[in-house]
Amino acid sequence: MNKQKVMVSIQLNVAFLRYVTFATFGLLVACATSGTTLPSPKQAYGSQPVYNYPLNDPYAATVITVPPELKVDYSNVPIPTDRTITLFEERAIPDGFWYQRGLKYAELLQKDPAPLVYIIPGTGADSQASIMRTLANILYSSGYSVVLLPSPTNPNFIINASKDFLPGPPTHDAFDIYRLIQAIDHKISQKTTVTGHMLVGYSLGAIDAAFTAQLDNTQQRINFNKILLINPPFSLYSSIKMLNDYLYSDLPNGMDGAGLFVKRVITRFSKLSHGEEALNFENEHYLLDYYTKFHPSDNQLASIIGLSFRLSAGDMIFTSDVMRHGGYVFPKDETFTTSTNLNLYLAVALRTSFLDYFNDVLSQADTSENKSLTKAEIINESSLASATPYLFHNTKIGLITNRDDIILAPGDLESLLNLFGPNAVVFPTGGHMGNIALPAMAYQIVTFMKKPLP
Amino acid sequence: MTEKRRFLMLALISTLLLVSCASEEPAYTLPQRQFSDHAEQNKAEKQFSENDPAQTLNKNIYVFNAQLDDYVLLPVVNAYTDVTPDFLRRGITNFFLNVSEITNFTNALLQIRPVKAGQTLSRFVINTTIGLAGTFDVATLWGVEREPEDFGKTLGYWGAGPGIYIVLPALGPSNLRDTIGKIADYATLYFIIPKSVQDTAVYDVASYGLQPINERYTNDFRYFSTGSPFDYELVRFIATEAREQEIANDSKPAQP
Repeated sequence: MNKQKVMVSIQLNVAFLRYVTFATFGLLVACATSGTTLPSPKQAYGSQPVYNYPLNDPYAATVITVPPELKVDYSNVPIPTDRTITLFEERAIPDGFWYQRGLKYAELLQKDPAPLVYIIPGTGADSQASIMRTLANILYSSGYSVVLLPSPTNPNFIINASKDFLPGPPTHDAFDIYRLIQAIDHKISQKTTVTGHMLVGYSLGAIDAAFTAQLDNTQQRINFNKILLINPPFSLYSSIKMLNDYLYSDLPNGMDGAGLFVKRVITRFSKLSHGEEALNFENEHYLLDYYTKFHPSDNQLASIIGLSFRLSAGDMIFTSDVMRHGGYVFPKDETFTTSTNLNLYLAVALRTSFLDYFNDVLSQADTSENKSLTKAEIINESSLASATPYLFHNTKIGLITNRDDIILAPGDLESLLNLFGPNAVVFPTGGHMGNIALPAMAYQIVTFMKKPLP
Repeated sequence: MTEKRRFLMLALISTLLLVSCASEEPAYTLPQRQFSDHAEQNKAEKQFSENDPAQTLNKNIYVFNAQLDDYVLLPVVNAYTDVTPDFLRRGITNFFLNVSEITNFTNALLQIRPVKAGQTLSRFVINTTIGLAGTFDVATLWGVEREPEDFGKTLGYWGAGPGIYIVLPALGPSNLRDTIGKIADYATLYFIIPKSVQDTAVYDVASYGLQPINERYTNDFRYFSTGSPFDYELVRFIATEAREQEIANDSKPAQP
């Protein structure tokens, strides 16, 4: 048994439950390396690579992502350095969150003066997510410095960078993100020369990027030259609704059957491993192996996707509630300590959807930037349509998405294409973020970033 | 028992009673959303809650382990990685894996699985001799696969359930059965390895210095790395389920 295999198995054990989270699918895949005929970055961007994504099923694409042999080899790109920064010096952080002190981000800086790209991940994710690493690799190997941020819905962000602990609405989160970017930018400008600023976001992070850029357009403290949105929702609310429904596609009783469902997935995965340890895989193909061996139905895959989204939502809602003493899922006067028994609170958090949070918390709360908005107002503001005057055919802002993205409701793709016009690239397949590690994707990302502005 | 000691005992017991009484009644306002409101009565499951009556103690050890990692083990592992070349670390890992073939062998015997026992024994012989004291895994190259066994697995093989969840200091997530297993395996090694070897300084350095470092180096588990406020609960669930699955898969007859 070599070290690589040990690493794969251990990472799996820990990360398994989160592996399907949009941003963290690849935690599994990320830890394995090897491969024979991988194209080098130069090959990948020199001329336009053919689009060779093998999966036509969008649910399978979303879960399985890119088979290892089709990925670009980035083994020469260094691993980003983890950093922490404190934004609210006076903030009291409960003991139960002792390990969350300081906002965690990662940076990968070029030695020479270079443009700097900030990347915002999808729901619940942080700089460790495999999609984040993929984007960092693509951009760093093309000459950019990169900073990987946590999502405003990630517990570490909520605790350390959210002003009022009410994450979710992108117009509201943009203020927190913008404050954070300015603080990090100040630190980075002291050690390297930054020749320009860019912003990239995927999934929920893409909609965050759009509103952060809009804020920057009025406040002009960073002045982003380029903003790229990858697989964004058009209307956040309708995407959340779809993801919420996915949970029930193979789990009619919702979370009441989820424990068994997850156990079944673990059992199946364990059958693919080599018998040494239950979740220990011989090669990087086990996601694809799982698919070809067990033929999970679209309903099952959709439930896996919905479940991972629910887990991220539960983390977010619980963290937000503890921090603001909201008394929603955690008693407002109980102290959250390292030994607080969370069994019941976890059970409740998992039964609390993003939609419940929308209705019960966001619609009721006075936020610092927006005074008591109605539910309809929040829904409107959380759609890219509300930023039409800024976004419409803006050459600084690019869109890359997939025709079969499973978080787009009927009509959403057309709305996106109307909004971004000539700055939109649409792949025929890939589901939600399934094709991010494909050379053709890397080519489109770099092409947009390097394209001179008129 | 002196008067003083009796008093101390009494004080200790009454404190414990007080503590346990105090935790009976919640002294806080119930949150808006309650489990009973949002789950189908009686049928509802509390997700991912395993058999964990010692949770308070376990959680404290979990945090202790995380801090031990932060302040001691991981800095030592990083220094180890910095000063040793890759091939040397691989050799050291192989060496300890080869020592563990003894455990694999004894447990294969206890499970009355002669094929497995033969396989582990031949691995030990091949790697100890041709593999230069186990630093090279020649056996795997020759197609003799590693068959990891331990006494916890043996107990599981003969039908023992995991028992309560236990977080072991420094070692991490485990359960009652596997804790007993660990102690038994350790004791077995102690009796099998000749005293003449155990009395040497090299043995001390290997078992008390290198072995723990190698153990942490090869284990990529990081406390609180899920980023979730429910990290302890998620790890408890995954660790328990994965281990039970491992035992279940291992106990089935090998496929042709």
